[in-house]
Amino acid sequence: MRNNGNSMRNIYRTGFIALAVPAIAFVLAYLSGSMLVLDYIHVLIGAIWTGVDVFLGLLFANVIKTINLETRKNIGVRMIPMTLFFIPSASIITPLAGYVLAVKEGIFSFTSTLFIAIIIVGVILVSIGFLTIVPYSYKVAREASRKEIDLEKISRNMRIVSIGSMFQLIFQVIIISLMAYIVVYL
Amino acid sequence: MKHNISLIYSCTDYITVVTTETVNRNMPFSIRDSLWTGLPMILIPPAIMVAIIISGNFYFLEYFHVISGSAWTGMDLVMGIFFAYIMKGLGDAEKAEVSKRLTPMMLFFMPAISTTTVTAGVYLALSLGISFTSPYFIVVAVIAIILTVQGLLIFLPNEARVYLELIRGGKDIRKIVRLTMINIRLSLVQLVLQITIILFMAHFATGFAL
Repeated sequence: MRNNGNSMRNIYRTGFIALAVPAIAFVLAYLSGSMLVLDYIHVLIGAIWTGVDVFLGLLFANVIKTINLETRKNIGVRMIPMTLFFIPSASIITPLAGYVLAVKEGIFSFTSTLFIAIIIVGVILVSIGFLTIVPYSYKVAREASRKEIDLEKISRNMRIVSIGSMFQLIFQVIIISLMAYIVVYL
Repeated sequence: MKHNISLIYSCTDYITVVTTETVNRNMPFSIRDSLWTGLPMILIPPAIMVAIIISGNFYFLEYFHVISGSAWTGMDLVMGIFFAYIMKGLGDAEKAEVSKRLTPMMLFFMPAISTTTVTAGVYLALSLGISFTSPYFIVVAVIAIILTVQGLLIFLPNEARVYLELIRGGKDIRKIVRLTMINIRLSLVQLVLQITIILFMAHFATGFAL
């Protein structure tokens, strides 16, 4: 695979679509004023985000661990739209849609133990993304744009992205338990 | 000078090939290894679901349905869009290497997660007292049947064929790549159906009409 300016531009272009689609979907859902559509967007983007973490943290970790460095680099570069663009977008839009939904339903309260727990887990979840997945994906992108590519460096950064996804998945499992509590008991 | 440069390039190519070969030889396909990672993936989701159904706890049933459904939908999106994009940028040999590592897990994980999501959904519908003759339920049931049939009659046999090819040594790279790419495209179809079914789930969750 060529990693010249053109192919990186294509990757960033695809990444921009991955970033914009959840944001546009949320804006449209918000403007529609429909609780059903807002709930749909919140659940759908949240589900996709969870699936991305299952894939990156659980299944793909094994692929990345054992495949040769050149292929790993090629995979890492093509993962950029998902890790550098979609994950940040989903990690902002999903909680935002959830917050709007909770406020509109009149159940949101800063003093409620349930919502304090949701906010804490949510902050940890988003922080993991912005402290591991996003910066290390950016490092993969930056390294791949260089003339002399350090394959080991890309490999190390991908490993951190994968570990970050695994930790994010753990907190997603926790936050979904709190979401299920809202659906069942509130 | 020209000769020297081409010699350096040839050496670099040779080193890359040797590295690839070494890594590939170091990681041969093994049924034992694939079962080691695959069996927990096929056994854990049904075991959890059975335990929840026996406990009769509605909250855990809802929780499990959402978690497994999220993993399934998200995986289909990753496979159908992001992973297809990743695979498009790789050569056939690289695709086969990725497939070799991913197939054992997908072969076990996807059937487990899809069947348990649907089963938990049926139990949830029964617990909620949703009428089986309701138009919403009929649409959801039809989509769920299509998803399950697609998964069990196309996705699963293709993964099994790749798995069998890998057991035989994985020499037919074309076959591995072709079957893997069919499944990736199928994931996109599954994703469209799942996006539709989640819309109906949102109706059941909020109570608002579509």
